[in-house]
Amino acid sequence: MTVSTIEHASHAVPANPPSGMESLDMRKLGMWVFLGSDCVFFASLITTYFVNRPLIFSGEPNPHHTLGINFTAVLAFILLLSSLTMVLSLAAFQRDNIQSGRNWLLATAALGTCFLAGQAIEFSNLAHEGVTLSSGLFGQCFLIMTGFHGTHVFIGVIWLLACWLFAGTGRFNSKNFIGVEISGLYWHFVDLVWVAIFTLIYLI
Amino acid sequence: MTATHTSPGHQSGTHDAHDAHAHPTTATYIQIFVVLFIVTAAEVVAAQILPSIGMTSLVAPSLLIMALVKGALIILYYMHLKSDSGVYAAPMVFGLVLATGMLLTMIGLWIIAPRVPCTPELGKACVVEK
Repeated sequence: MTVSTIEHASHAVPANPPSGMESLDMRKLGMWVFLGSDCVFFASLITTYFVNRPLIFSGEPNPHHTLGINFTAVLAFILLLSSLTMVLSLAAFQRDNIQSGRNWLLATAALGTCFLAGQAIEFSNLAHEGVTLSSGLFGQCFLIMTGFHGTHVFIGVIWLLACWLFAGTGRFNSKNFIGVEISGLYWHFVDLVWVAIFTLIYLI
Repeated sequence: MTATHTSPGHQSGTHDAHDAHAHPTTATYIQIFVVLFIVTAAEVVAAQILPSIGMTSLVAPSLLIMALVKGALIILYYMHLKSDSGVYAAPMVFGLVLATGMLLTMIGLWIIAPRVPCTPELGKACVVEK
């Protein structure tokens, strides 16, 4: 058997393609399990805020006066845009357009960094108004919840940059893009959590 | 918003591991983003306009519905659960059910018996713990 024949055979579609559970990627399934558990984690933080809401709104400073909805809406748009760039990155890798995929990954990480910068500004403004971790129930509930979300974003940015570096070595292409796909799932989840926090905490 | 394309091993992450399913096209992804953008803008407007015209009771339901629409679009299209195997959705659905159950249970318990210090600002909603 010649070398070309061997290469052709290795890329041939198997006679019996995997089906059912065999067709699942365990790394991807593992990420979904993690995301499911992370749902419960964030739900516990949001629940804590809601249960304490009457006390929070009866005290000072009042969240309705201190939380800037318009500024946070801009942050929400930034995260939504980053979800678009993330999914475009994955689509580019699936088409073997590696450079485009890397560019979109970098754009996603940059947007994530913008979000973190915005959150740092918001935390700084809140601190000036006396809302800190030790200032009371509002400070504790709000800062721990949004702080954990920000930590998730920070981890996501590091992960995206790692993917960007790995992609530069030719690790990801149309036949192997699981790394980008899993980091994308994580990134979209971070966006999903912000959708919940933005609505439940800032708007309602 | 249903345009799709397929490519070999698209679903898999590794070429041979999965069967090929349809994934949305780039145009679909952009359309989804436009919808998400518009719904988010509508949320901000609703949160500020509805109370000012005396429709405060509509704020929470309308915002929750819009947030659910946004969440569903992200999960189904950007996270590809619409085209992926349902097995991937199971842990997420389980987590969401637990999360929603916990939130509703705790809020329900608080309504039945709020175990918080009574302050004048809480008014009649506050029940002193016995």
